[in-house]
Amino acid sequence: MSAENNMPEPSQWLDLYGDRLFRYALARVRLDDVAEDLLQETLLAAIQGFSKFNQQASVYSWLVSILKNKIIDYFRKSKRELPLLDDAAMGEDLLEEQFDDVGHWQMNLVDWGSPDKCLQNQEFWTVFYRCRDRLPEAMARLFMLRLDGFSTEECCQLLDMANANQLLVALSRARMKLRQCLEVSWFASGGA
Amino acid sequence: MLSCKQTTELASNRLDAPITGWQKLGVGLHLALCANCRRYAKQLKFLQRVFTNADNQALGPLLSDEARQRIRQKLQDAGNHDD
Repeated sequence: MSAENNMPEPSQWLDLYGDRLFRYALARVRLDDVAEDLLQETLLAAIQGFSKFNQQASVYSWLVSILKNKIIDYFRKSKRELPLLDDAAMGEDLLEEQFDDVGHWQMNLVDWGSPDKCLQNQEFWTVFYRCRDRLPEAMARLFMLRLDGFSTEECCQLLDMANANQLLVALSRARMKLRQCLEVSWFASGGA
Repeated sequence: MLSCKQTTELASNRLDAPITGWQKLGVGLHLALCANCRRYAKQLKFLQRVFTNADNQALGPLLSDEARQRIRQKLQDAGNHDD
């Protein structure tokens, strides 16, 4: 990836950045075919708009900025099709399983040790994506939007949520579900 | 005193929005006394790092050869039209 300094040709972009851009898109839209389409649209738009490219930035970050807009467009267009976050999607059952009537833990959490070394482990990423894919679509989108710096108001709009409070609850349930899945499928099963 | 359920929710909320001084105090106090909630809070922070790392990972899903080929063809077609 050292080609970034000496300005790769547009014909090289797919080979140089295709995987990273695909991964970026897939982390946000989850469906392979959607991520592939967005990557293709991004590269087409970039080739057409190459004259507007500001050479101060790296080609990759410029491509990412185009891709980001494509992803948001896709979210806007598909938000009416998002399954509702009902009690099951919000993990009410897991909540009841984890806490007793007065809100104390009914189980002991597994010590994850120093989990950051997992980031170098391909198997961990497979497990992580599998857990992430089990989240309701709206929760997965919410996660990514927040990490990409969208405000709570923007997230509410993009996900048709009533208010910031609903959004915070959804995020906390999303983390609870993801944490539980990673614990069961990785940290408690010898992955660490 | 906050319950574990409340504490875990606030441990999540504080990653997204500022929480009040009283809430901070409540969470701090609870975490000082509760090993499970300490673990939970620490693990949530790790989850944040996993997501931020996902973009820059050399590991993870790859574009399939088939899709790569298809996109390459599209780009070439578009390029030819421009000429």
